[in-house]
Amino acid sequence: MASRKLEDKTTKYSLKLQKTGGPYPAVVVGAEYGRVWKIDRSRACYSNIHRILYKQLMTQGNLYQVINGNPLGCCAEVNASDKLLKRLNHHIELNTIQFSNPRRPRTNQIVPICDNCKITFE
Amino acid sequence: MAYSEIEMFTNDIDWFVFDIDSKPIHVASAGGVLPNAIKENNIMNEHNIEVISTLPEVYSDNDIIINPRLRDIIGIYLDSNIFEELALRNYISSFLLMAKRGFYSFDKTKIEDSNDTHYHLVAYPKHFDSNLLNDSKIERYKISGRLPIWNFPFNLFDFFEDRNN
Repeated sequence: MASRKLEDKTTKYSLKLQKTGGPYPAVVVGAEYGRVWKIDRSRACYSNIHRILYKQLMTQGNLYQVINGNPLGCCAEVNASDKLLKRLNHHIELNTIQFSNPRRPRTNQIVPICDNCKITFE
Repeated sequence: MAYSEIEMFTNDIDWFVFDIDSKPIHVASAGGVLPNAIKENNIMNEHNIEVISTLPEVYSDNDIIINPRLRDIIGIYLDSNIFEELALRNYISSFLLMAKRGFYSFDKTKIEDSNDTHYHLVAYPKHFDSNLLNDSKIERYKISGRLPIWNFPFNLFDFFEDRNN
């Protein structure tokens, strides 16, 4: 479970995007490990994605391949955890990363986690 | 040009059509699949997004009807840690703006399922004026169906000739 602080920061970021009036990403989410946290949005992941994430995603399919209705490696969870892993610069297990509630900036609704991310991070 | 699958599934895209009665329809994609007519013509849609973002609000709050069943439809996705009224206000804001510009504004119902094409009406003007947007530079994509004003979710893509679901 993510810290209250990360939940608040993710909500603030979602509401900030809402106020821009669009264009909106589909989802934003926060990822944390210990006291380090990063927030990111749904988009295509960078080609230099962290090797731990890359290896795990490759067990499900190719990057950007649509699996279970979502392109692999494009979820906010992947992008936030990629930033986090690069910031940490030491090995951690993906299932030790804590995520805030994923939010939809247009409405600030809480978006259920997709099947691909359940496999990647659980 | 077409929206790529990555663009379609990672962005909450506004798209616009007109029904057979010339009712202006706004739809929020929530990262879901787009109808082929929109997906294959991103230039038209991006042009419309730009034009519509500059339209004035011609209706006030009192001229807009909010779906009275909204709470039942979207309740499971609202943040239970926030006062419900505030969560609903956050939810409605972008749809209310579109309704004030004269659109029947729809949202995707199952936001976790990108391939589901059920949508619900969020907000719309009390009085429909078919001439309201005549002078705007909106490129009109007309659907063959008459969009119903229902308070419950329905398959919006059923009203497209080229339904792709």
